[in-house]
Amino acid sequence: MLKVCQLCKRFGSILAVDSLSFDAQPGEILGLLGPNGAGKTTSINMIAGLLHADAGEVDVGGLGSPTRSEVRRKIGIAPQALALYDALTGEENLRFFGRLAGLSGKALRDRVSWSLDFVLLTDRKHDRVKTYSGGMKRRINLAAALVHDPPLLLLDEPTVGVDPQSRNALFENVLAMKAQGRTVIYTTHYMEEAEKLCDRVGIMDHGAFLAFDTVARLIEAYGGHSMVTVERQNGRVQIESDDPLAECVRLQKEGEILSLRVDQPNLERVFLNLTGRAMRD
Amino acid sequence: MRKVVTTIAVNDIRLLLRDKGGAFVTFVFPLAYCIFFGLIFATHNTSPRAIDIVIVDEDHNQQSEEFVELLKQSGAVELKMASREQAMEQVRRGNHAAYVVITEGFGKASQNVRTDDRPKIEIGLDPSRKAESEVVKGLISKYAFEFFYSHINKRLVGDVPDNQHEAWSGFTPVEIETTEIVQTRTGPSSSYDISFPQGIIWGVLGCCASFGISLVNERTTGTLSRLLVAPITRTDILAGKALACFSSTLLLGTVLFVVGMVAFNVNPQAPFHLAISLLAISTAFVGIMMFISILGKTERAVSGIGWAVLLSMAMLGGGMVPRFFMPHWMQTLSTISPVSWAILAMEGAVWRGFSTSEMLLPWSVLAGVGLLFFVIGVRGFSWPDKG
Ligand SMILES: Nc1ncnc2c1ncn2[C@@H]1O[C@H](COP(=O)(O)OP(=O)(O)OP(=O)(O)O)[C@@H](O)[C@H]1O
Ligand SMILES: [Mg+2]
Repeated sequence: MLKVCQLCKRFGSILAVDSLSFDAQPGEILGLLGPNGAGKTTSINMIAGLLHADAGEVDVGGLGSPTRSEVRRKIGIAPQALALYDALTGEENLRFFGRLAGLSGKALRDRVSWSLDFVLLTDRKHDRVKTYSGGMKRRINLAAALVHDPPLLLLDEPTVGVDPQSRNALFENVLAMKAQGRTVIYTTHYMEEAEKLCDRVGIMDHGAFLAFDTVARLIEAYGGHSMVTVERQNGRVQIESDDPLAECVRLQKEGEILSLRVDQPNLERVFLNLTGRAMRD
Repeated sequence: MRKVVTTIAVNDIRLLLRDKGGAFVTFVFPLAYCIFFGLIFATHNTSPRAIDIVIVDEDHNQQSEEFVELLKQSGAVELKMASREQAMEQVRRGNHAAYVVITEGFGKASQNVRTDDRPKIEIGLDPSRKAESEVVKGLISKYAFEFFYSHINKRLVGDVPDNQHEAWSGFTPVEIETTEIVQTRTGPSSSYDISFPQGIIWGVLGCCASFGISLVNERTTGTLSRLLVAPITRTDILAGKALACFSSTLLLGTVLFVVGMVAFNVNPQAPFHLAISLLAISTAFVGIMMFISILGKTERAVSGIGWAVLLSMAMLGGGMVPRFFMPHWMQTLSTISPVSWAILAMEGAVWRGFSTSEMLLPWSVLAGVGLLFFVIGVRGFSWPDKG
């Protein structure tokens, strides 16, 4: 569905994307994870045809580069920076973007109401977007990506500021779209989202992948050991272990335990191990 | 035209109307301007409410003077004495609604009601001023009737009771002959002929600024990126913007002129020329809109610099103070402002009586300005992917 080959983009002295290559299949959710400034949004914009790459190629569904307008019909994008007409209602925004994508009549009406349902905003559809809360804006921004029913979805941090209820509904819907055979490129800073949703995850920094694989294999390769934390009368001890169960049994024999916790390696550990713990700007 | 172009244009116009301030600047303010300045400069003899007629007394005797006096006393009309030639010229110029000639033999005929040659009054009317013409005809008949009624009764029976009026009904004691005088105006017929083109300019400038700013707004809010990701071309996007600005400007000019014609007696001599002028003006200001949109990176910058440019154009081009108030050298200088050509294009069709070949100059200047600025604007436009 999507092939990205040796993509490069430079802004002045900053190399925002550095020879990025990957591909995504129909029915696959692909996560892009990386610290601020890693180049995720820049990559998404190039895939959407919004930015011209300095070098490299993007191919969507075998149709060619998204710089061609008929290729862009296959793409839906929910940009990180909200892009909506504040003075229009949610429904008017969706109708407008749907029309631009060539929808009209009943097809347009159906898709607009489907998209509003999808993001749980049907009851607010007649309100102007400027009266929406931050999370609602984010949701209508996502609906605008879906309204023309594209096979490739580019979701750039779609859940920032969205409450847990809506977020869970949204996950289910993203999974439903995957089941329909759509390809989703998903960037996020929430590791549990990526673990829950993504088939494969690319960990990005300085414009390139540090690792790119399924979540399980990433954890296996970069997650390190399980961490057993034990608290006793005389203090707290943390022990790294490959076999946390055996470790627990051994600890119990050594004396009275006030509390015991086992932290399995997860994506967050992978992320921090790969990108380092230093603060980013 | 591609459907998406109209989709974008319709969306843009809707956005303009949603913005109360923008809608006010574009539609309400210009109309207020037209009326306000029309009122300020309104002069007595051009007020449509005062029916003023020119009297030509060719009989020069006691009876004719009495009749003129009777009309004067009535207070229903404003009178001015003149020769027949002067009178015709006044009506032709639109300075007066009608002229009335008391023909030779009027006095003599009025003395003798039984003769066949009845006293004769000629009325010259401007056919384009129908309402006033009818009033003048009615008034003259009424006063002629009163005049003769009193004369004849005095001689025949002395005082007659009021109900005797009925005995005369259907009988016109005086022959009234009307002539149509078609106006060939050489100047504005009223101050509204001046204030409407000026006011329309303000509406056009408002449209131009609003759409220019909205284009920048699309870039800063990111909706332009969405348009770019949609399966349409950049040409579609800019064509949609241009169409929105063009059709709003055209609609605004048309609506304001219709208001002027219906309510303020603005009476374009050449409506067809006026229509072309409005098309040419819209073309010019679409180009200028595009140019305005590249004058800054933010709405604030474009609004500030854009309005400064537009106001300078208006000031120099006679949008604030009519050009004929300007000293000669400034009038010459003002031709560098597109506004002066826009006003000339409207005035040429409204009251300057330009021929088609005379109109060609302002039309082509406006079209050229539109094209030039549009090309500059499109080339200088920074798409989000340039950064
Ligand atoms: N238009 C631009 N002009 C100059 N530099 C840019 C521009 N857009 C992005 N950059 C730079 O490119 C780099 C990558 O930015 P990008 O927005 O792709 O990061 P990101 O991974 O999406 O970050 P975040 O998680 O904060 O959204 C950053 O260093 C950023 O400063
Ligand atoms: Mg980003």
